[in-house]
Amino acid sequence: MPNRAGFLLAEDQALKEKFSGIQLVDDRDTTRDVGVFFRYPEGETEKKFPFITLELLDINHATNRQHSDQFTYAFTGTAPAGQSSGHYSTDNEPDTLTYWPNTTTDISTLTPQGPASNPFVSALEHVPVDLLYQVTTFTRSALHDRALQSHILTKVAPFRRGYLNVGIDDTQRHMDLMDWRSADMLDEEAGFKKRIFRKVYTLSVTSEIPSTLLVSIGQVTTQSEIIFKDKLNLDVLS
Amino acid sequence: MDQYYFTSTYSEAPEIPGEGGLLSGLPAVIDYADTLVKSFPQILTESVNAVLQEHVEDSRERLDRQEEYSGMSQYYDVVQGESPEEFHFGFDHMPDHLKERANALEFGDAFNPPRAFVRRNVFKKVDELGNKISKKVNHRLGESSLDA
Repeated sequence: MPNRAGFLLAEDQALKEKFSGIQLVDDRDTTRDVGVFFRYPEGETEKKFPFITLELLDINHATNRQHSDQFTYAFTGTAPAGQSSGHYSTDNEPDTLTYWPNTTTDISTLTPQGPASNPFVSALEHVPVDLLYQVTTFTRSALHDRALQSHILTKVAPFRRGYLNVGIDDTQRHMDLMDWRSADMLDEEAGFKKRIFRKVYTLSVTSEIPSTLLVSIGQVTTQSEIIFKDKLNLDVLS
Repeated sequence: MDQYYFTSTYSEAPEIPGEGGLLSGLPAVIDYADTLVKSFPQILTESVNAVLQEHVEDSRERLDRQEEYSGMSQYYDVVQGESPEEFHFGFDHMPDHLKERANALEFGDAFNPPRAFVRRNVFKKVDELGNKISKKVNHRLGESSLDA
């Protein structure tokens, strides 16, 4: 499946992939697949236990990671005649822009605002946000419940070391397990007579929203280019 | 009801050796520092309780405005856990007939997505609460503090 681009779309896809492919073992089946759905399966979806649901709870501005309007840069073209390319390199610099969040791994593939001949591109630092997800496991047996819990807490979302690989921009996001708890329920389809073992995991995933458009910048050679500096402050909403 | 009780204690400084000379005593600044240290537990306790109380009242007001949570707002509280620094945010002393609805709203069920008021509230407010407590303590200790 191709990597999906876009804020939330990319993270949703990555999270679904992260929790997909889990298999449980029991007396009847040694390769029982665990389905993954966004939201609880509705009537038209065959409900086959065990399964996992994913839900986005909230989006919070991560003010603890927000800086004060720092510009980030990338060098995309060839150096002007007489200048060494090394002079224009921005590799390994803290303000180097290499990816565009939830869009691409390579900033040079994007078309910036302004003259394409300008070798530098720039943007204001992206706005950091935290996405709050609820991941819920539903099983019919206590054994499946425990096995799934063990697998998730050790392999998928361990405390302190959780991460989420978002394919479209190839970033490794922090995925922190904030909380997990039991929340067993009775199955309404079975007349509330059968127990569904349910575990609820609350995850926080880091993300970014671009705050300005990507613009190309270069040496001003004509009067008309002076107004171009204002484009650096172009909001993505404008 | 107060949510927080400070339980740690500070050791008292021993008597100053060499007392009994022609002149003895302590500089005023030492005396002032000693007063601050001794009053710190009470200042911290009062500051934490004031900030948490404000948070609880604010949260209850917001719950009152949400139809799904009708009748539950009065049970929202923050209570101290087993360790002095541990707090539990959520519905406390809630009658059984409301507990099931509160759980369904928090975690969702077959028919409704999770509203997650408690978790969203905690993740949005926890840094703010920490900052408010810090500022309040600083004010009480006599330090200047500017609001951001």
